Amino acid sequence: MRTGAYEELLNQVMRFPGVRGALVVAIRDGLVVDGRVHVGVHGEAVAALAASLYRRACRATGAKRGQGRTLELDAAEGRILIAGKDDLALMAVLERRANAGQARLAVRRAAQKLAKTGRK
Amino acid sequence: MAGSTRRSLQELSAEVAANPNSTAFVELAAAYRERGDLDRAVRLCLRGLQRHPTHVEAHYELGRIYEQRGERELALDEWGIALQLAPDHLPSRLSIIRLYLDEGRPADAARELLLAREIAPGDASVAELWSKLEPMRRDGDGSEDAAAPVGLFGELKREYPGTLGALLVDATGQLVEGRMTPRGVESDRMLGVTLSGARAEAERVASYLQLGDLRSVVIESAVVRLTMSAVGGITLIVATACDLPAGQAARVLARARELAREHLESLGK
Repeated sequence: MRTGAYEELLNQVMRFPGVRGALVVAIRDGLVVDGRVHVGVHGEAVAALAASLYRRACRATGAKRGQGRTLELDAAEGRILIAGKDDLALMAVLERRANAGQARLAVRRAAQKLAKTGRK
Repeated sequence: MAGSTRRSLQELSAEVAANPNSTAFVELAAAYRERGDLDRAVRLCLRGLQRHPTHVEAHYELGRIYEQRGERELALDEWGIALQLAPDHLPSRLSIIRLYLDEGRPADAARELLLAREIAPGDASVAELWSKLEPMRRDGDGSEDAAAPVGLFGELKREYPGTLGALLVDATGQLVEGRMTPRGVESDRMLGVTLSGARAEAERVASYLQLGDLRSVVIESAVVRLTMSAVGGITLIVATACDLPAGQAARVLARARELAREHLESLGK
């Protein structure tokens, strides 16, 4: 799955204990652009489903309440974090034991870099 | 000097190449950093940390590289991780203090210096940093302002000034209670419908990806943080200012859930 173009960004997110996957995803169609996932994590499924949810969240918080930026899905067995701008988003799949604060920060920063990279 | 650096680089490179599990990547990354090859140093550290995620010196070194690249927040992250792994790691603590002093953050620097003094009471670097801090501490701090209360969740706003509003929405997206937007009930209804749909979709995502029961969904924009969670069969949506710390926002949500539960019980739901 990995192409290497976003290797550093993905590694910055993956280095935290409990992070099971990091993906760069095209928001509009939910397709994986680049990613690293542990065995058992279905990257394509995460990307497609989470991108759809993210689009809906962006619509809800869109023009009227400021640009939708990050989304965190918190469930009993894990979390999904998504941060993005324009066409690309960075997604992370977390185990329950992962430090959510650190991972959130890492995902946001990686997404900021992603936005800058995308503009070049 | 260049010759000795190159030789040591070669030796270290050979060691890392021969044994990918070696921790010599830290030294090698430091050597690259000293040569100004920062991108290569970062890549090396990140790759090494995948094999050795709890290597304190590696996190410290990565922080130094980020700092040299001008990425101060990432540097703070790495030193913070090093201190989580080894709270007595003085070089990380001192690096954080220097950065705070450099950024004119005397309160943060003072907090860290107190910890550094506990770790190393007689350390000359700690004493030197205290002397740099003293003149800065005479400057004052800023102040904050508050918002006005409304509706069922008015109490929430009074208790937690960063609260912007709260809504209770039923399974069909109908507004049960609360106020959120300044544009009135119709705008709140629209928001309720969209967001209750988002929560339903989040439940499907959590179920499909086998993440267990959905606890909450947080959507954050540049101005607002919206947190959705279920209270009985009803969706509770709480809006807080995005600059409210996440821990405070969690307390607001917990209190909102209490108020919502009481309200729904009073309605017999």
